[in-house]
Amino acid sequence: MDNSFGSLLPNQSDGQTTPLRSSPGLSVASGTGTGSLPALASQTVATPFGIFTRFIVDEDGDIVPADPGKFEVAR
Amino acid sequence: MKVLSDSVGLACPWDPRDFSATVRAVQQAHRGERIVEVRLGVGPLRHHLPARVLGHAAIVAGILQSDVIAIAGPLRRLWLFSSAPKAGNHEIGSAVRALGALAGALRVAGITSPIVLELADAAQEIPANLEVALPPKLIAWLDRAAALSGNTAPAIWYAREHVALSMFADLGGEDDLVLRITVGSAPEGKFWGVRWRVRAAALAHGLPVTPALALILKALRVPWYNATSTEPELGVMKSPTAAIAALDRAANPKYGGNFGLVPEARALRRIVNFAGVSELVDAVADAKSAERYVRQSGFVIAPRLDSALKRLL
Repeated sequence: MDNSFGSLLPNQSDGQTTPLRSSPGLSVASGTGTGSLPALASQTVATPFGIFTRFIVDEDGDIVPADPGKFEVAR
Repeated sequence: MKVLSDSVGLACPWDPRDFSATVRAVQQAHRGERIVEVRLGVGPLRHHLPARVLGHAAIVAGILQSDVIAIAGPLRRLWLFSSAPKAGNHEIGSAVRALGALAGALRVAGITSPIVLELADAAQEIPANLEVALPPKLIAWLDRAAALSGNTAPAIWYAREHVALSMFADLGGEDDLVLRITVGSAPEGKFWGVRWRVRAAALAHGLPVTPALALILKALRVPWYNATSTEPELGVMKSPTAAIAALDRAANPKYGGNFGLVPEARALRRIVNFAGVSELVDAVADAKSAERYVRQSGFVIAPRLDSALKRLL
């Protein structure tokens, strides 16, 4: 199987669960990363860029469920 | 507030000073005080020019028409660059075919914004004294990605150069009132992990940094220009049914295919019968016709590509 770059990305098709980080006051549904997505997330997080998002790219370049705390730290 | 598509991950600069400047720039873009430029990077072609470029363009067009506008307002221009020279690949014919294919596919998919085509500078553009500490996990990924892609440039050097003016243009032009947005597949997110750190180092050295965000298409795992050995070539699109079947097979692990190709395989079905597909396939069939095509189709040919094309003739 030619995985090319695909094999370098986490939680794509390996059936592993990506834990979701909950935030106070936000409803977070659990999900497993068994499909083509890195993780499933039901929460939309308000960003300082005037838009909501469900996923962000973290410091290491991984796509993870959005966490409002990340934006507060960056401010 | 609007919501970004579930298919994208938002990448922003994590350095607080850079982050704040980018927040202000987004507000300025919405007020029409900054122009919005989207940059797409095209790496060296691996194996061949794949039919998947059409599916990729269909997906990117959707992001340009929805998410980019939602986050920053109207798109002023689209800037496509080939990173091939930076990666150590100097086959200009291959680079112009790839650029022409993606630009033409975006037109087929309905993108009407001005499109600029350029080549990255093979020379080093980022000052060597910008010290950037990268996490070991990211370094390991860059090394593996370089080995798989066949790039001959040193992996970390190539990653740092992503911020160069001839690539994603993070560095250069403080008075250049632009908000730059990268749209790319999942591996571009990894390069963002390098880019925001180089941006922070540049700011610490007093160098100008252009506000930027990235929208990373998280389900696109294999860059379209890194065709797998079993994928159909773009030329197969002369017989669309065969091309779709071949790409479906290349995306099916049951047949030894790569599941990461599925989103673009599905998107290919949406675009396959659009006007202009057949003409595009012919136009980029070889380097000479691709050169004519990019010059005659209303794309803006930036200086480095222009010079290279003149040498190609």
